[in-house]
Amino acid sequence: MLLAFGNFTADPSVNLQLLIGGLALGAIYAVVALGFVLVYKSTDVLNLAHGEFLMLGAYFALTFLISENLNFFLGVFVLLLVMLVFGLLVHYGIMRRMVGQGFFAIVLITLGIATIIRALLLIFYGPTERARLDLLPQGSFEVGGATVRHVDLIIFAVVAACVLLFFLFFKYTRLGLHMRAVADDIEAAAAMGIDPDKVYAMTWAAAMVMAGVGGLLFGHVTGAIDRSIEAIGLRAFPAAVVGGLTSLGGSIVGGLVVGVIEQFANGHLGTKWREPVAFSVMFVVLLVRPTGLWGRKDLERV
Amino acid sequence: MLNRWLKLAVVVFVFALIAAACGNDDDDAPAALEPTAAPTEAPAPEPEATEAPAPAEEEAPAEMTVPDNPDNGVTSDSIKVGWMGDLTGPTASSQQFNSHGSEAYFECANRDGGALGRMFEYLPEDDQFNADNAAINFTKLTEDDKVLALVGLGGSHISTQLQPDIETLNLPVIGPPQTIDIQLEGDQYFNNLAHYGDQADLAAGHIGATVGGIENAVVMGISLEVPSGTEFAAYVEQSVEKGGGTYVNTLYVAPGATEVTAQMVELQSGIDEQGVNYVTLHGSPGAGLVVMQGMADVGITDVPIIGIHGIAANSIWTEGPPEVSDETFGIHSFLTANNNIEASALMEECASLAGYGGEHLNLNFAHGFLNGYVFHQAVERAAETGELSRESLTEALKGSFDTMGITCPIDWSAFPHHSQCGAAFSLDAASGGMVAANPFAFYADNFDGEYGIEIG
Repeated sequence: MLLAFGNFTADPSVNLQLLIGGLALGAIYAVVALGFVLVYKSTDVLNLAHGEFLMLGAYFALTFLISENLNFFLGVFVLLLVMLVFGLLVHYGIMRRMVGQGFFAIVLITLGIATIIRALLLIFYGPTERARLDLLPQGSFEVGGATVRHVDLIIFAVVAACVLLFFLFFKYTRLGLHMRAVADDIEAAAAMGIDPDKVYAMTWAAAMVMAGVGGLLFGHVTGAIDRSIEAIGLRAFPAAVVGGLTSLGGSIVGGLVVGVIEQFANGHLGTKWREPVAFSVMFVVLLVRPTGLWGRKDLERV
Repeated sequence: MLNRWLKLAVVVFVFALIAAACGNDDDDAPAALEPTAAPTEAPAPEPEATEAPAPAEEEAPAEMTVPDNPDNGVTSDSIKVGWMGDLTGPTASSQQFNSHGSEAYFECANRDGGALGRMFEYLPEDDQFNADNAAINFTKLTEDDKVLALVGLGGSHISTQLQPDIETLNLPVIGPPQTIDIQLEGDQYFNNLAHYGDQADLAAGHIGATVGGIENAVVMGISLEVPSGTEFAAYVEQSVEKGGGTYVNTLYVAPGATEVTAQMVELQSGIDEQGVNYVTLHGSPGAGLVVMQGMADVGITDVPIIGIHGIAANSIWTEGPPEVSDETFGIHSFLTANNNIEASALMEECASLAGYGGEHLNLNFAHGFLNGYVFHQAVERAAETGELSRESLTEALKGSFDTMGITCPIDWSAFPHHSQCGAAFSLDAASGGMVAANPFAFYADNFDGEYGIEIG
């Protein structure tokens, strides 16, 4: 029995479906937020092109896995390799020259990169939408009257694995240590013999690889692959901010929180409330905790 | 040194990969119809209204000539005609075909000598679905290029915004890819795409034919959350309820949405609780695919869909989940070249000539092609008055036109200038083109001619 109050319903299966849908959406947001965090944590750059990076990953996945019909693992390897190379190009071609420039100048550069990526995809792939990827298991099962897709579970697992890997990388590897050192104090790190240029290059490469993973995953759940999917970057931004722009774990929690809230707003209040509610959550978090729920508060000597 | 070579190698590698990606993309392009391909079952071509010259076959009579009128786009060697719409923005996957269709027509017409001793100069302007860009483009076309007319003006918000200027300049607009109320009120608009109200009537007729009478229909609408989405939903509700059917409610999808979990929850509830047996869909092909994938994901595969003309795009069937697209139709007013119509061979030939081989299988291409053909006929008719101007062209357009079987006979002699013509289309896998479930005439009785709906 559906107990509806306007758009509100107390039907457990409906709310369970919204919860599951929200977690699935949140997992995608977490992938994107992870990319934001990775770059911001290591280079202090707010990369507003990350949605486009992810879109690039989705289109390359189409090319290598569908059009070229490469073996799945080989195709994914090539995809990630290409993304890694693009990351290096972004650093050595553009961002390297921006080191030491003002925060907003660098943000504007990332917006410029976003514009160029959108234009290149239009030129090379055209405006016509493509079917989403179907290489990961497409089935589903029911829990309490709600549908759970296998692909969503895979996304959860991949996101969790990525967070764990990055956590271990930052904590236990030499390069991870260098990244943290450069992020904390670039001059001190350089004085200790760390090359910030290489650290930044590896950061952009890692962010691009993460975007490749995100594009591959998102390409499996979006309705169609076209140039509108870059909007995922903007939509995931509240997730990154809520989690804290310097916290890897925060990105996953922020993603899930925002995804679920958005989905319930959509289901109970209507689709027009979806984004206002998500961004309102971000505003509230910023008002209460300006660094996000798990973000690091920088101390500055006066 | 080694470092420099390494970087160079990286750059070369990346460009090689991009080139591979692009080359590969071509492999996916729909193949052009073979000339010998068997025609698919097509609606019977409607009788043609007038005997107008086919541009590829006959040249304008030698004695017909007009003086230059550069302020209205008529120079000593060219007749300028504009097109405004979205070539690279969010609706480009639909609108670009309109432009390509017109361009292809003019390529062929110029190959065959143009008109009145002049070549057609086709000037498409891309606004990316943005009203500000459109205003700039309009100024360029009317004040710099001084075009004689527009063949196509995409975007209901844009045609609404430009309506006063179009009236002031007396600029004819032939076949915009949407037909909203304000276009019926303008003397300069010559619409050949069925109005939203007509499309809703047609949808109700198609639904009724499918479920054994409209009184058996229980319909839920899914619309993009834009003004035209609300308008279409209101018309559908009116048409369904007028016939005795039930319209449950409208679910809205945000533009750019990539998933529709909440909407699917509500649709499933509608099916379970109220017996929804049909879905009407408003939006672009991209939005349509999102909804269809959402339905497939939750297993709603046995509720058929009928969508507006935006949904009648080949990609809905080539890229959408087959378990849903098998039961999907899109309303449109034109026939593609795979149908056995008078324009078939010419449309295919002109598409290839213009570099758009294969696009003659797209409904919007057929629309753009027809717009070019109608413009050509009107230019020659206007020239009979001894001058070619926006005024004489407007008057010439107020009449009947040959359509080469692409759509129903056009008769714009009465006001408002529009065409109640449409059918429910789906993709014919064999030809790669679109085919109608029934001929245009099958749906003719459904149009009630009521427009200007009040939206609550």
